[in-house]
Amino acid sequence: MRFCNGAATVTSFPWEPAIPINIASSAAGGDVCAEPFPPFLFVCVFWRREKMSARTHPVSRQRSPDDQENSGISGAGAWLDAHYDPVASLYTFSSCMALEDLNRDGDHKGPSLSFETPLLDLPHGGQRLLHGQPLTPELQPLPWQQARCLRLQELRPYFNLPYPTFREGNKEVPLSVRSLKYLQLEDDAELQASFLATFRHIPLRRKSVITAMAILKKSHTEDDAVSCLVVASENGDIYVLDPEAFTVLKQFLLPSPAVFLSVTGLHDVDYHISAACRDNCIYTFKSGASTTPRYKIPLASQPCGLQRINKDVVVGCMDDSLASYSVKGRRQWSLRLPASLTCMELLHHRPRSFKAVVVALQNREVRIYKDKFLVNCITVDDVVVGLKFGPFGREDGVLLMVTQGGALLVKILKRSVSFEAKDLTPGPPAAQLDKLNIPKRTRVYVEQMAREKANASTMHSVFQQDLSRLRLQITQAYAKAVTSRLTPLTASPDCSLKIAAQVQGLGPIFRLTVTVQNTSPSKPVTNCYITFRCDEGLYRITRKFIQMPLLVPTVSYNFDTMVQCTDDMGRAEEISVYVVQNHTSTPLITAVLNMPVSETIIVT
Amino acid sequence: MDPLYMANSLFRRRRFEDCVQVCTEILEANPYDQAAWFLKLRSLTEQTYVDEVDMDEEGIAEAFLDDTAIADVARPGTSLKGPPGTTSRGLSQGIRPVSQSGRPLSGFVRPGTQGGRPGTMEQALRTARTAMTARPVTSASGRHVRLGTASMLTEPGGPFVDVSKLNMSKYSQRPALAKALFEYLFHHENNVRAALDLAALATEACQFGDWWWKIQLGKCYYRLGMYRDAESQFKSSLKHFSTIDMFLYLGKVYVKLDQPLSALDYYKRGLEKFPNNTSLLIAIARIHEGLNDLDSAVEYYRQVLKYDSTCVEAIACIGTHHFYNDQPEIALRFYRRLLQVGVYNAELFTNLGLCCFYAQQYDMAISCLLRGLQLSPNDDNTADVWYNIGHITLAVGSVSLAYQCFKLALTSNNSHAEAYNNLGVIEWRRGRGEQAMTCFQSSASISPHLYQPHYNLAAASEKTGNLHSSYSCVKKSLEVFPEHLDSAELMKQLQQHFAAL
Repeated sequence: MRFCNGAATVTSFPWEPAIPINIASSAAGGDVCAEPFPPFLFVCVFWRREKMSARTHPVSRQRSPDDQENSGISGAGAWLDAHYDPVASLYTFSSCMALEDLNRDGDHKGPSLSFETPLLDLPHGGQRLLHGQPLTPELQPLPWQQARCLRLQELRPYFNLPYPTFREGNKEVPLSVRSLKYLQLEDDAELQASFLATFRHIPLRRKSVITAMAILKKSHTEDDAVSCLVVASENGDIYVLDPEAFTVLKQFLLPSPAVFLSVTGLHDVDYHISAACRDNCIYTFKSGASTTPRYKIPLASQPCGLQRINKDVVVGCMDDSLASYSVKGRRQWSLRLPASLTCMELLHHRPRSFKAVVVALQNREVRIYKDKFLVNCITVDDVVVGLKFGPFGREDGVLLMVTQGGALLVKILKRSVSFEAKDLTPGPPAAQLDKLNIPKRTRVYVEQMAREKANASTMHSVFQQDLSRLRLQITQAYAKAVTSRLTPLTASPDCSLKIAAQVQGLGPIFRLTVTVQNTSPSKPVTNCYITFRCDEGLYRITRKFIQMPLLVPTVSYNFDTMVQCTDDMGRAEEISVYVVQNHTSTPLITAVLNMPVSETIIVT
Repeated sequence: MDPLYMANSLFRRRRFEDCVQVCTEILEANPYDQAAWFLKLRSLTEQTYVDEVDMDEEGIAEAFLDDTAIADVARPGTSLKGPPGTTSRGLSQGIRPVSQSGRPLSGFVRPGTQGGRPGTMEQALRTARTAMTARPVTSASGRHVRLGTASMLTEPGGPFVDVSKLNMSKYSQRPALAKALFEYLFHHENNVRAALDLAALATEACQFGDWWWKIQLGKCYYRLGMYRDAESQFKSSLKHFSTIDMFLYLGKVYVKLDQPLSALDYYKRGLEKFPNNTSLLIAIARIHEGLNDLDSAVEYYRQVLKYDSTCVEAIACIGTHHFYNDQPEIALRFYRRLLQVGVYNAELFTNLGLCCFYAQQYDMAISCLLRGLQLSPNDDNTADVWYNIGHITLAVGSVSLAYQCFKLALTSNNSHAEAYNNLGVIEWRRGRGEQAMTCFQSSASISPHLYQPHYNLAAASEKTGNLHSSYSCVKKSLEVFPEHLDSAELMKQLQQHFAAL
């Protein structure tokens, strides 16, 4: 197969020597997987002007059952499977993926590893950067822990940009570690003096780490145009670097560290930089003299991804929402995703000038949203954590996906495909048009109303009389039930119990289960017994008297006994179950059980 | 007077016991008097004759050891068993309560409308299987056994016909005698196997040309649970001749086989031959009701009333339909009609009271309910009446009276799940959370088919911070009633809680 080659560079943890791992070797992949926390791999997939192979892998598509809205919007039609390597052992995210024509020689060597470069530390992001001379592609991995940019040229580390040490223009600079240390020594003047003497000549610098990175075209919009690197740091700075000299062209200040950057426009003309920050806000800068953000968009939750489509900012948040804002912060639309979002990517299909957002979800789906409408959905076997869309080989639109398990999927967008963003529910919601099922006002009703009007006072007095009679009857019955303790629930404050009785079996022998529960929140009940009353000629009860243990509050206790029906005529009677306490003649509670008809004779 | 003439006359006047006595005297004088023997056979049969066409109860064994079931989950609208699909056109459970099988309550209690299909063996064998709501172990026992034993006891000096000594092939050659003997064996002796032997021989003797014998064969097979054989016999007899009974039998077989659509098909074919026959119309309405298509059911019940204006089942079902469709004044008319027809029981008066109350005819409402209370024959009915009175008192605004009513309902029937649920709500409002939870729990365990206790339990658990049990309860509630908005809302809330954790 003649296909892309992934360039993998391995950086192991600082205390271990760097071990390059060959992607193609499955054994190595196995080793990586066996570790609880596999070393972070930096992957860049390069771009070749070569014909792609048509090798496809069967990818099982599982439609999630709860997903009804995208029935008919399946990923099958729009995409061709170009490559599927489940054991690629790539452990990376979108920010560390870039597409590039590596050698510019049109040579195609098949799906092998092109090159690998050990990095000094874990990378945070990679970008394709064209500087000074056109047509020399470069790749920029940025180590996270050491604050510097590393530039690779011709597949070797080329340039190492030390991160600017001080933040200028900020009036209230927080104290550096060294200053703090010095202040701690205030009791000991001698030590302070020696400390000063030692560090006096070493310039004061505060190290920071890079949190996000983006590319800003210098003066032309072409693909091969020279571009500036935009870097955001933990200190809350955004730097725009000169493409030639790598000096700071422009610095912006943020109130919080940025996690995602999105850049549009040209450096020499006009540009916008949007930064999603850790304080749940999106800040937007404009080119110009000001270093402070122009617009602020507060978000409901932490951002998970940020993309810019034309003038709008599309942001995915941790509360499973996807929303679009205008630059000034007006929310255009918002929708709820069926699962949490893992990563986001802009789908810009140039031949059709189609822009949409690709969203990978925790439920193993990759969805494409054009505005707020779902236009396509791909189901993958694993959770996708890295997405990249761009020109690849001869194709203009290729989607690369890296899954949690380290698999690499490449899908080609069919040239004939055109996604249509359709609003399926135009106008007011359908429920609004439903007619309420209000019954007609019947003739009888009108007649009755007339009767009511005519005899209102008599009706009222009769009703009041009846009501008092009813009240009397209820109260009498209730008093009788309470005094003879016929209820299955007690309400007295000193002892609140509940009883339920069940009978099981077909007969003539039944099992009678009595469930007793102490419903008071804290008071245990003691000295209680269960007895039964029934027609002695009809039923024989094995345990007529059951002594109960101490009843702990809120626990249900089951007691059971056997009941034998001695009658073969199919008679059935009630059995009363009583809970009684010492020294009282009335039971505490009663349950009355209607016995089933005993099945004594079976047809021969 | 000639004693045989006398016996004949007695038989025609349906004085069967006297007829039997006269025939016995004749037979004592001359044991070989075939006419007397025949007449005695007929009158004994008539005493225990049961119209086989009518619905019969489904026993526990049939419900569980069902070997004719093909698919566990039938397509919606094609099965009488299992929970009704979401495509049902009936009212939601929030308005019209459901029976144990999850179907809307019918206005008329028939075998099969209450029990439905229990989920577990334990549920089937619970206390509800009392003398009133008897659910026999199998349909072979139950009613038939009781009839059989009853007839046996009335016989002094042993049975009239000794089945074991009968020479079936001899009788099968004589059609008139054979038919009488068959009915005697089938209805009086309840000896289906012997009857089947006789029927098989007799139908062979007439070269399979007599539709009557085929029906009898089908009846025997049906009684023995061989529904497919019964079906073929009924179909075969339908080729010779058609009677209303045949269509009804076929429908019955298909109901047993859980093919309500085939049953409907045959009933409709029957209606083509016998237009506007009320038995067929009622059968169709019942099937529609079973399929939860209440509008069509009511349509057919109305047709029945056109031709038979005293049909209690139709009146009751239409009345119930109107009541739950927010037209209590119309329901009142139907229930009044029932009173005119001669029904006089606790259920009717309770319904009348409720209709009066909701139709704002307050002067009649309470007296009707009190009459219902007086008339209620047993504790189960009393409990229901108290429960309904509780609703009225709630509507009047007296919560304490309602509390007492629901407690009285529980005193009469310890397993009144609805009363437990409402009691729990009142307890909750009074701020006694523990008691309320206990009530909800009892209600949910007694009647897992109700969604209210599950939802209440979930809501109460959510309030007390027990999110996990709330989640499991609201899941149950949604299982029972998927369209319940409050449950869905609570579920969403809980999911958000869990997502935030």
